[in-house]
Amino acid sequence: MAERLFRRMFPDDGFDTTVCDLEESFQEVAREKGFFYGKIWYLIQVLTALYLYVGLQIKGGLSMFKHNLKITLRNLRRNKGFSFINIFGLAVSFAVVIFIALFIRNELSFDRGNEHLDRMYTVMMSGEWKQQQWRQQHIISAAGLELSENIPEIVKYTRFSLQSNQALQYHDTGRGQDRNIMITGMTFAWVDPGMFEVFTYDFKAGNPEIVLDEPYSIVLIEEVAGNLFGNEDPIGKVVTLNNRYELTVTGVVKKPANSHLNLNAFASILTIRSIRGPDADRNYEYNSYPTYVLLPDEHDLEAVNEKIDTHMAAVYKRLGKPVVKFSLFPVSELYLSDILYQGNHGSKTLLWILFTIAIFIVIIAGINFINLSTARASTRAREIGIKKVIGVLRKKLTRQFLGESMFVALAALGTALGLAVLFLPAFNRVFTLDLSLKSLFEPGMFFCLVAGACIIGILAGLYPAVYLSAFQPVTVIRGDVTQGRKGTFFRKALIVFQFAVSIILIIGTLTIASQIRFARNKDLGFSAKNVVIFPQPQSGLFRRNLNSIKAELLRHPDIRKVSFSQGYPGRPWNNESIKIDEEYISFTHFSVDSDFADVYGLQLLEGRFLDLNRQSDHLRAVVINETAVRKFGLESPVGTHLPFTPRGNLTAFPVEEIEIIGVVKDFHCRSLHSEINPILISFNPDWMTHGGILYSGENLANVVGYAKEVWKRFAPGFPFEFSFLDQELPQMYAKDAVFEQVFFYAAGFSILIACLGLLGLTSYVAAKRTKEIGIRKVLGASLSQILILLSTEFTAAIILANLIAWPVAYYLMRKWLANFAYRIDLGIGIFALSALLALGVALITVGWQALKAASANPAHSLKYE
Amino acid sequence: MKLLSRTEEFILLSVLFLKEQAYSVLIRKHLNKVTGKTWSYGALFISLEQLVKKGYLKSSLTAPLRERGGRSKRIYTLTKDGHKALEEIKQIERKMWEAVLETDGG
Repeated sequence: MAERLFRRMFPDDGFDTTVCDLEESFQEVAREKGFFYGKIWYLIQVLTALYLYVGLQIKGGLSMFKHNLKITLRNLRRNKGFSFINIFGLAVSFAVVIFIALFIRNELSFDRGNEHLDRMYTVMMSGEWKQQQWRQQHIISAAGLELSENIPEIVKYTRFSLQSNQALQYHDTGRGQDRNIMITGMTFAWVDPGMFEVFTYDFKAGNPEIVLDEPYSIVLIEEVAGNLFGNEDPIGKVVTLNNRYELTVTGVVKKPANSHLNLNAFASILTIRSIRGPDADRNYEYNSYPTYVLLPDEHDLEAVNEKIDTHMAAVYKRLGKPVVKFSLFPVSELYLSDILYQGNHGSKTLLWILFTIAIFIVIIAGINFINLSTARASTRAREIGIKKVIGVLRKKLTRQFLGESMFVALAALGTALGLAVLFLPAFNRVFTLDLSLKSLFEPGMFFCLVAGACIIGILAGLYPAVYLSAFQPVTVIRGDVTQGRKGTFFRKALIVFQFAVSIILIIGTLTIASQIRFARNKDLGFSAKNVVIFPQPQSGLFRRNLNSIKAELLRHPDIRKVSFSQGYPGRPWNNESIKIDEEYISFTHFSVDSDFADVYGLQLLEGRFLDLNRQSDHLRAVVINETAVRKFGLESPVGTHLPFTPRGNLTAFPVEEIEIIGVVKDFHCRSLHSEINPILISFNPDWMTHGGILYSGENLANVVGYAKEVWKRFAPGFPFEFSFLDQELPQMYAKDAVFEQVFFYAAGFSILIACLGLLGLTSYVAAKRTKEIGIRKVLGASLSQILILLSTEFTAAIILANLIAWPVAYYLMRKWLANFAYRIDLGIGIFALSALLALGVALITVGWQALKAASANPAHSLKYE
Repeated sequence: MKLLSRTEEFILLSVLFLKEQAYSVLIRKHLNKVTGKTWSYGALFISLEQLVKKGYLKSSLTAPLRERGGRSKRIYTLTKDGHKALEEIKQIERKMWEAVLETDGG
């Protein structure tokens, strides 16, 4: 390579002579001072020569740069309109890309606050069921203990026993006060003492290594501690959990910004041993304990997995449980994976979609740039022609234009940063995020931005640069610069592409919006109207007196019906399976009382509903839905007895057979994403989690107040929390709503940028044809005739864009809609609407310019003939 | 109206001295001997090319030579402009020194 550079120094093949001269000297030197010395001398000569040459080039380049810069600025100022559109269009797209980049970067940085992230794994259980692979993070609590005791590579471990809706109370008796401060709705977990050695938390108070070593100790996050204790030192204070257990605060931590865990407090799992016995946390039955382990710095993942799997297999075999596979999954990949867990979830799909959108937006903006630059060509024709006559090399011209586009790109970047600063707060608000621009100014990121802008500038500027520098001086000076046919075609094609992408995005937005609306308005088979839901408190008093509570509530004139159940439509709780004809069919289960059907508006088709007054209805009587009838293959379901062998040890049906007493109409117990399962409804007194109140629809405040009173009597100290069923249901589509937002804004930007491009092009075309228009007007053409003349070209382009966009959009939307078991049909309506929208916007843009051109005074335009 | 720099002047003078033998190796040797400083080929070649560009030197190739394995040598010769530039700089230097000596002597 050095030789190539060396060669370039002597354009008239002076290379040969130079090398020979050098060799001559080399011989001499070698003769005098020795061969080795000679070689070094030779090397030094070459290097110095290179060094000086490069320096010379740079000096030459610098002066050229200054000259070009002057010209660039002058051009930009002369064509203010175009330049503005160019820079602004690019800036908008850069800003969007910046936002997307910030978001993606944020998502990818989850859990990075953990010092040992590369050694952290979570234990997964997996297997195959009906030819489908499954895996879950929830395993038995004994697993963590078994593994830490038998696998030496497990340095530290912690399990999580997640508890939601907990209440912490602090009885403040300091400084002569006597008050209770209570926080409710807390999500916390019982964790092992090794918790903070696996996970890295920022401790404001307390020592991470020993905070949870004692039972009855608890660590709180800053906000909770602040709410409970104000400015007082939390360490050593006693809080009461759920009115039952007293825990001592041993530490305060800062809640990490980007963590897949969403917990507000951590209590020592050793407490459970004190409460329920030394083996209470060594359960081999219930799979509900996420477990995390820390491996040593150097570890062989394969080998450890082997050991773990072998050991657990042996354990399971010993217990007579069906064997499942155990393995480790890296925590660093947990947030974006599709593994279910309690906490904050990311979505790889969303990131990919955003990334694609960002790329598309950049492409569209780049296309705009190319279009505008080439369209402006004739205004620069004279400059180019003269330069060429003087003798400026075409290569130099190309480089000048490339420099110009890089300048524009960098200017756009600057503007984009300004826009980003301006709009970041709004952006954060709309998407409930907390992004900051700080990460942009890290040297690495900043360099990428600048380099990216330069690259885009070069790429987008390549075609215009080549195109412009190709002008022949003769044709230019003659004033003959008409756009080649190839040029127009290329430009039209770019516009079509831009609009096609915009149309796809519009169709996407409309489809998602209408699907969400459909989901919200569909008949769900049950009634969510006027239903108040509340979770049952962890209070024995409450649970023992459900009947009395119900009676009390019903005393209120506006309360119609009350029902206690496990789960409710929209929030199923229990899934089991029943063996029918040698096959296990899974079903969703609700444990309810007699009023369930009334409160939630279920429709009884055959037989009767549960009647808790009949003892025979307890535990073994079931009401099933239509799908169950179908799937179980029952002819006349009512009265049928089905043998029941539970799968696993935990079941709502601790009986040998169940009797079907009724059939209800199908209802969607989950979101419309899923098919309707067979549903079994029975009564099991131990399985209750919620209560539902059906009220008249009036006097809501009154009703709630009364319910609160009754609550206080049976659950003193527990806060009454309630929600409205018809407000809860739409939240099932939260993720889709996010998609909708993303598509909406993307479509908006895409159209904006496409229109900017169109605006630039049409104003140019209109300007170019002022003479023609002037003549036409003189000859008597009407305003509308001229408008039509100018718009037809672009209308055709838009229609073509539609034709291209429709099949693509159709395919993409079908794929997305497949997420829903119950979906809308992709009717022609949406497509037509998008087409009209795009057409309308384009026509307005074109029309405005055409109007300007058409209403120009012919006298003006024809003056300069 | 750029005056010759010292380096350029020395190079031109070397070429003038070497007459038709002025190629890079000999130029360099002469410069080394007279100035007492070691010149690198890099600087020399670059300056030579610059002088050619400025029109003070002409470069030409000799016929292929046997001792070079069939390749030519590149000989540099002074152009009329080169001569003029040397004259110019010589005059200016003389005048500068005269001015100094006048005031000194006065």
